Amino acid sequence: MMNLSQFSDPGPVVVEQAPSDLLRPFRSARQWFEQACRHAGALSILLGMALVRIFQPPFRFRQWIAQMEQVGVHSLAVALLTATFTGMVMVLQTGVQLGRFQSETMTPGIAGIALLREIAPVLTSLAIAARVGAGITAELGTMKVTEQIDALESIGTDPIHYLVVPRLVACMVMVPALTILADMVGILGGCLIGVTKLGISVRSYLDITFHWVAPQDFYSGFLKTIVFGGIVATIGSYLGLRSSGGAEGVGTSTTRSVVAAFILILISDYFLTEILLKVL
Amino acid sequence: MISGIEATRIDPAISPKPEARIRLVDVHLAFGPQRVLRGVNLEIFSGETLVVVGRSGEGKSVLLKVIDGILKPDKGEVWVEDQRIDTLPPRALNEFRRRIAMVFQGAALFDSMTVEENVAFPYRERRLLADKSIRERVVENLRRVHLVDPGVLRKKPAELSGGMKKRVGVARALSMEPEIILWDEPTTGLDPVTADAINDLILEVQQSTHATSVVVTHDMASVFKVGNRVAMLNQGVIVYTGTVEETRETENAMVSQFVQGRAQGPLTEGLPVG
Repeated sequence: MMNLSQFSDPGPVVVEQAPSDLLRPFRSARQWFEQACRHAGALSILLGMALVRIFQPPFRFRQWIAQMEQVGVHSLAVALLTATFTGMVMVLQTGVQLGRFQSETMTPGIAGIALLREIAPVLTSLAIAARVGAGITAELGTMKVTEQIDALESIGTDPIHYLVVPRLVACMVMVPALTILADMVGILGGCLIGVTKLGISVRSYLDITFHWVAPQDFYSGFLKTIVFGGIVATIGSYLGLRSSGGAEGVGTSTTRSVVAAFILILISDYFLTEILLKVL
Repeated sequence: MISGIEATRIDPAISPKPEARIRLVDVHLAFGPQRVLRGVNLEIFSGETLVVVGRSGEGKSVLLKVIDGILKPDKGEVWVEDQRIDTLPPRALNEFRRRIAMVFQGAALFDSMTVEENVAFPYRERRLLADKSIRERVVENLRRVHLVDPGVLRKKPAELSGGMKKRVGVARALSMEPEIILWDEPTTGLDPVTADAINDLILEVQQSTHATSVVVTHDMASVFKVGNRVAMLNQGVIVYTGTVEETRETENAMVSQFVQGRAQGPLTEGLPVG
């Protein structure tokens, strides 16, 4: 039977003592592997439960919108700033390096494809993981240690439906939305450098970009960000809901949330890229 | 001491009295290696106020959360009337919980909401009333806990004193129109005057709702003022049950040590105090 207490920290995995210390590295590896499997299982269950509940009434649209504002509108500045300067650096580096092969004219195309396929989706998601994922863990963690989540359950409200679903929906909608904007400002930032540093005209820069960039490049990055958004919300919620031990525990969970989301985004990016290169 | 515990255990094989509203049968619960409840057997009768006492860290609050279905026992059964609640599926359990209200130790008010939103929350979740009716009931419930200043409605929990938070927590519990109320350390952390006012409030709520109440506390003034019956939890089992009058005069060494607040005695044998 599913219950929120299954996400609580059950304590360390106890591994029986082996007779020889030579086996210690293997015991540690086994302990680490068992804990990783346990977290992966619990995360998958939480994600599954949240996804099912998206389609179950009551539909809390007000909370969905409030969370979208929190994730999207409040993260706009950091996402756009990241994209602008990354686009500028991309074009500067690519242009200078391609200049060694007398191929500067390829710069807008290469920078555009890299931005749409990888740089904008991944960096936007990492920025959201740092800002929003940490916020989700801190908020839910504080609610957990002050018994507010117990109070929700006591009132007969499903905390996953009430707390996790709005955050999951918001992240899965707003991370892709922010990425579209990041794609645009990244290209414009690159264009600025192309014009001022590489001597390419605005018209030529945009013509070359749109000549080389195909719709698949956009779709590839866009689809990834739906998954990345899901990762940010699920990790943030999971670590928040299993917080314990007061302010220190919430702080530890928040740090872990950012680290875990970063790692999972980067690992899943590789596998998604492999799949999308075959599919699109 | 062990024989004392054994002697006061309720035999689960004995069939329960028909009027028992809440029944815990051989309930065990552990958090990792820490075994908190080790076979709790307890019956709570309709309309009574049972006070559960015991030393800090004995699992009294855990016991309340087990009754409310927030924590699932590893072993044993939890019955409310003829419904076994520890095996209910989540949706049915959520529906069932609406009959039970819990007042938390730290009030557990939702800190992102105002007082009005907190007290209105159970009504809004049930979606049975119009906004105007909800507001009227919120004001009425706050009046029942003696919070009559209209300015309090718009305050956030962080702006309230400890006593006011407890009162708002009680008002939110009243919004559930409960048949059973679970009180987790209602007077802890309050000055004696405010604590006594909260005890009066518990009595008022009891008289007006006729709910079955379970109060967890280690405040003896509270025990003798609000309780009809007393149960003592020690080392994960219920070691004593008796009426308030019986408790005052009991010869049970553990209970009398607790009632008199003595550091030496069977409760603390071989254990560090404090």
